[in-house]
Amino acid sequence: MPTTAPIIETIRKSLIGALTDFVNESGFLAQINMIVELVYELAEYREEDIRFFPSVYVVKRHDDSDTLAIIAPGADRIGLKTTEMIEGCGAMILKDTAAMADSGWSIFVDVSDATLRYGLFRSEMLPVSLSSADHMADPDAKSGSGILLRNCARNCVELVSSDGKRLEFGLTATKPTPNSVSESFRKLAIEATRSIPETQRDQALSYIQRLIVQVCQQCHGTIIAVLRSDIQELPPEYHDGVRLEEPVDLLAAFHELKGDGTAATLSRLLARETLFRGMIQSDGITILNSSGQIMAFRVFVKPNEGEQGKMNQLNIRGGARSRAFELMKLRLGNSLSCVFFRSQDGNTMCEVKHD
Amino acid sequence: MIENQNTIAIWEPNQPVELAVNATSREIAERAQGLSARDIHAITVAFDSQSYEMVSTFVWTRAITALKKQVASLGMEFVGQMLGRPDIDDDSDAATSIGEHDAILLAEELGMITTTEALRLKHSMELVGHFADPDNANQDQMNQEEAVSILRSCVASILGNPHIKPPIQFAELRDALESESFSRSDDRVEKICESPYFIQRTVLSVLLSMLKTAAGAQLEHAVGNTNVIVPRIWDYLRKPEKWQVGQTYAEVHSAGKHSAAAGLKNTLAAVKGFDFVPETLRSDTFARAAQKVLEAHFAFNNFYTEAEPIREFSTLGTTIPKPAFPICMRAILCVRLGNFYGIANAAQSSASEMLSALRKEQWEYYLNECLPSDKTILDKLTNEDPAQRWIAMASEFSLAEFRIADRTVKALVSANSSSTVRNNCNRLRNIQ
Repeated sequence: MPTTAPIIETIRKSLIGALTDFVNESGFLAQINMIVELVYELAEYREEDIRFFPSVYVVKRHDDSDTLAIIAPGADRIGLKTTEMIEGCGAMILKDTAAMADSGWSIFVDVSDATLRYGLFRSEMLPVSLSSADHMADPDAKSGSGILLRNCARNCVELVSSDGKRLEFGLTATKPTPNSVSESFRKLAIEATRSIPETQRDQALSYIQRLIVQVCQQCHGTIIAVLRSDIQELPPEYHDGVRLEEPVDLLAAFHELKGDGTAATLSRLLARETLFRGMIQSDGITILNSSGQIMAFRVFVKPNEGEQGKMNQLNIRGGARSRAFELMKLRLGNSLSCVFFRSQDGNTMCEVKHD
Repeated sequence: MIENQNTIAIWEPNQPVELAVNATSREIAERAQGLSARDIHAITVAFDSQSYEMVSTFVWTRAITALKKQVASLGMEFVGQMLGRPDIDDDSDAATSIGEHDAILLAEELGMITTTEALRLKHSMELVGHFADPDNANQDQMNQEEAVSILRSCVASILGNPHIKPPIQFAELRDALESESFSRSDDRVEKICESPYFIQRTVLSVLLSMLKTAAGAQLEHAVGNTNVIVPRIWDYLRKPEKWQVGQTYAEVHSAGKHSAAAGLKNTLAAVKGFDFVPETLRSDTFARAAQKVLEAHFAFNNFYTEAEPIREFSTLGTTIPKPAFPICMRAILCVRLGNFYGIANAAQSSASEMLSALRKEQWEYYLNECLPSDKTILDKLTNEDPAQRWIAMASEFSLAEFRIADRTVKALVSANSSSTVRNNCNRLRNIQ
């Protein structure tokens, strides 16, 4: 019986179609095949079944200047390979570099010449340093010519061009929602630094945002809430958990490091980050105040009668974490100014209310 | 001098106190307003009793302490910037942090003393250092003429004028740089552009220092003035100074100083200067190691103390980051060329090893970009023995075969007599 050969399709054509405008406006149309490969790989990158979250900076010389010198001045670089722009080079680059692109190291892919050169560089020198991502995200900054690609949730990749334009690309079949993952992180960081003096706020915000992104990449889902700025003590409805006798002050350690830059203050800050990471990885809710201090963790909440009534009217799907998030949303404006949710599969939301 | 609120003129060095050619030690000492009557009496008595080493050390210590104090009045952070010393900050003590040689160099750069007086002071420093070594003092004795020459030079340039200060024009310009934002058409910007190189370099140091340390309105002025002034002088700056701009960008970036980093990024973008941003912040490590060598070289007993710091320095390798290259070469050459009295034998193998490992491009960079403004080395080469060692070194490394743009430097590396070396050094010094 004669058979008809099947039509063979991949997602590649659709990906190219979806990314062409952004890549073209960023000046990297000639590299679109490699960028598409990188986006696809970064959406769920694994080696030996371990997930990695590398940041990849595709750069080229801009106005006769080295873009890496602009966005990562003085940063160590390790060139690994120079190769032709061939099919599959995106996957090859990640294979050679992704396992090392962690703890301040990122991947660079320099396409200034006909060939491409890739390797690793320090995109974050110290917790107090400006990061290369900060440069890219600042629309007013002249940050050379480049695109940053990084995973921001499962099956979701964020692209940031050097003129500050951003695109979040989900490799899922769901409809796009207005909830941007990176915006959710930013909203949380803004609320967690709202009481920091204005002169120090920008840096504190950038630091807290970076830290929360890193911590959430490794966790299996979490809820983080921020108390209203006029509330100093942990309200009784959050007493079912571990209340810290003294809040863990991340930003005090950050400012100490900024002040004296010694190994001792760096070590103190890293030690506090480790505590924070552990708290986020614990079950339950982590509660911060608006000065970036950790007030409590492993907090479990129960609705009161009124809240239970409202909860019943809502058609809530999902497990215990989703229900807790809906309950916390009801409390926004009372004791809380912000509640952030990250599910195990990377769904990320942040709600803010100040009344 | 200040002509009006918005103009500056190039400042002239403070002139030394005039002393009669045949003035006696007593007459010279009596002109030392910076000393008490008791000190002057003690000096006179010491001369009468022929205690020349003792009196010279006493006078020298008083003079150099006074000079350091005045240099420090500009702010120690700034002093550190001018000297390329990242270890000096506003909390550093002037007496212990600034080397004697550095204090003299800086005073000369800032016009506190004339070039001639600076040379005389450096010679006095070497004389005092030489006789402070008990081995030398046991073999030879300082003679009266040497002691009088030290007293004369200390009184003429420092102790005779107790109010020796950086020129008021410089202090006012420095204040203006941190308290006002100059417009592109400001006369002061024009004047800076027309000034000699060391003034442009000094203004650049002031601006970079402020970008690292200032905050609030001061920082805004510094950022604005950097954006106005640096693009105007960029084409005239030598590469070591351009590397300093790139190094500062990397440092403020690493320290998370957003406004300063954004400001310098704009400046570097305007001049297409990102090629001068270093790929590493290891410059500080090299600069500190080189500084330790220089401190040992210019301190007492240098022939015994240079070996250890240069050995440690040599372990860092010769991949010297560009921003630290000038001070590193200065340190190596100081050891190799020695001084009027000789060389530190135990330190020679490390210095020679480092010089042998230099690549052609590194030699060419030093000879073309660093040596013409390296007063420490140029001063050294005006002495007979260091000049002879220079000739031997130039021959050993075939320096004359390198590509050298400047005719005077070319003549310097091709010289076969110490007088030719001296003449070309003086020519280079006068171009500063």
